[in-house]
Amino acid sequence: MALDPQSQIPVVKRRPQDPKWVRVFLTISALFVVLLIIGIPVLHVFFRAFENGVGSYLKSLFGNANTRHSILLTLSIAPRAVLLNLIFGLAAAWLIARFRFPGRTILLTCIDLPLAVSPVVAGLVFVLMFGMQGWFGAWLADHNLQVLFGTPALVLATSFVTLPYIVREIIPVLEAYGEEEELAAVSLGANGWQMFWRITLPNIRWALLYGIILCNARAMGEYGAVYVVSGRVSGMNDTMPLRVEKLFQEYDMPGAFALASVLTFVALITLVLKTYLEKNLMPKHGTESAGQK
Amino acid sequence: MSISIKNVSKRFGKFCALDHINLEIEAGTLVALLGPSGSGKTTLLRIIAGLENADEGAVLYHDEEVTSKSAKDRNVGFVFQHYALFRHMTVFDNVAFGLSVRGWPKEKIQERVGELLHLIRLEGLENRYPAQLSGGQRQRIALARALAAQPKVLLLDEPFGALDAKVRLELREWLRRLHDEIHVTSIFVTHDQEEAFAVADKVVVLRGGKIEQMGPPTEVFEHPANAFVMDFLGQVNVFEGLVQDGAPRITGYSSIKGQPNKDFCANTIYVRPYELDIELGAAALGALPAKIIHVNPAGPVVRIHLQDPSSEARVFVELTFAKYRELGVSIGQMVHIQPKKARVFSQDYVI
Repeated sequence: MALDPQSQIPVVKRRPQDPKWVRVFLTISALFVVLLIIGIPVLHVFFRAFENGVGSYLKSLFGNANTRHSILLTLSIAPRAVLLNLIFGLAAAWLIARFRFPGRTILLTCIDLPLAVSPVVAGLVFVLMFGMQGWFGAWLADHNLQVLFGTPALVLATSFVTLPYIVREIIPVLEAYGEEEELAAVSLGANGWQMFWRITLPNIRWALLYGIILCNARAMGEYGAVYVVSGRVSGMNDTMPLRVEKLFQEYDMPGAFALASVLTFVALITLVLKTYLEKNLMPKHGTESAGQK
Repeated sequence: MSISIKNVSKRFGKFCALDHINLEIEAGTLVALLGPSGSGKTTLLRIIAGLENADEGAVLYHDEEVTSKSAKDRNVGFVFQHYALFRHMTVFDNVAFGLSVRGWPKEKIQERVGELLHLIRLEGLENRYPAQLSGGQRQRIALARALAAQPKVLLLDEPFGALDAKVRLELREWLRRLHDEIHVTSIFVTHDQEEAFAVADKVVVLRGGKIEQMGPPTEVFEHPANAFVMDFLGQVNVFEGLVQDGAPRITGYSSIKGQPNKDFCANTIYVRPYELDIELGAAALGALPAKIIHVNPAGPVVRIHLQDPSSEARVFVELTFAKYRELGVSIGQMVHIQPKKARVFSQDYVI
């Protein structure tokens, strides 16, 4: 349909008013920085890992007993840390989102502490607590319990560092949904357990999964805190990141890069899942907004 | 089942939401808790439901003390203002929730849900999700869900507040009919006096955590206990006057602007818009001169705005259309107004 040109309302867009060279310059610099400090290193890891072919790659990964052990150790520590954080995260998020109590802000701040404090300091705290000169060290030794340099310390240090991830994802979602659906469930005769499994959990399931994935990625990659509490004995308490560093120090480049590529691959999968899950996080519009009283 | 509320108080910090409330609700009645926001009506409803704890006092269901029982064990149906439907569940699962948590067998749930969907006339929507329903449909699902386990009491928090005017009107008629069918003791909260009068058997007017008046709608409307209730139940004109031979007589316009309950004295006289007459002739005793400034002839009732010629005071008069035609008044004309009925309230109500 032919329109009178004067009757057409010009479409005003804000963005194109910036000079073209500004836009081109900003785009190119952003892409350049991303490529330089993220893209090239990541590609380089895979390039070096597969430099000598797939056979050599698999051999450096699984042929070395210590490397194999580090993979299994990480695979056993990360899920335990995630589980601990899942239980703590649900409880803390519930408490913070549903109740107003003295000390609530302090609790919230404490949960964020691991994000601010250096992981090495976190590790040192556990050494201070469980080491022979530490508070519980003597008692633990008397009872023949090995915490420091053992799996318990690795799990604790990893949990400490990854503490905020699950809580932080659930709180905003719980708050956005509000408590009306939960109250409705109770008024309909549901007990606390039924309410949690049938109303609360389905509502926060995507946020929970999102938190678990981030938490797991962080747990697998943790280096600083684990470095301090682990004895760094190959084949005993070396986790994957520690093992990568050790292989690197031993000039076993194919081995170091092969193992590094596994960690990088985990990170890439995490990113894909994260992007996919982000769409489902918050309550959809269409149902009523959460009624806050 | 009857409900007794005995001496119930509730504070939120320094704010006193309920102040020693006593209320008896007979079995099978439909009661409206009416009041402005902050009057404590929703808090009272939630205390009756067990969703909130009273600081003191007791709630009795048919002589059984339930004050310390949780909402789960009280077997009440509660309809939330924003419905609070479970958004991840279908209509069927929503309505069935109260039954399945009580461990009803599958076939019985199927049968009961079918029965309820028939009752609310929403058969065929079993597999929809709340997001796919209109506001009115959601409201009815919320009601069906609350009724599923045959509660002894049905409590509704501003049940029609979130709906548009037309649907609201339909649903409240429907709620009244439904109540006549199933006769469950029901209490609903509203700030809309028209809604309360249209639906309820008994109206309880609340303000500032206290009951101002309760009774059947006609009684409350005809004999408001005080200036607050009078004003809250509809528009009111305020005049200065005096009580002569036991009857109130208007002597002039009041200088009070806005809500009459803000400033209350014995010589303040309250007249409803339909209790005022417009006269064309010379001033009779008790009549006041007024100038017509606006006429709104929409509908069977004509609303006329008048103004005191010597001040800013305004008065509203409602006439039947026939009376308006008979008078033949027009904007700008000087007339007299004469009350057919007037009220004064005792002075102990001073705030």
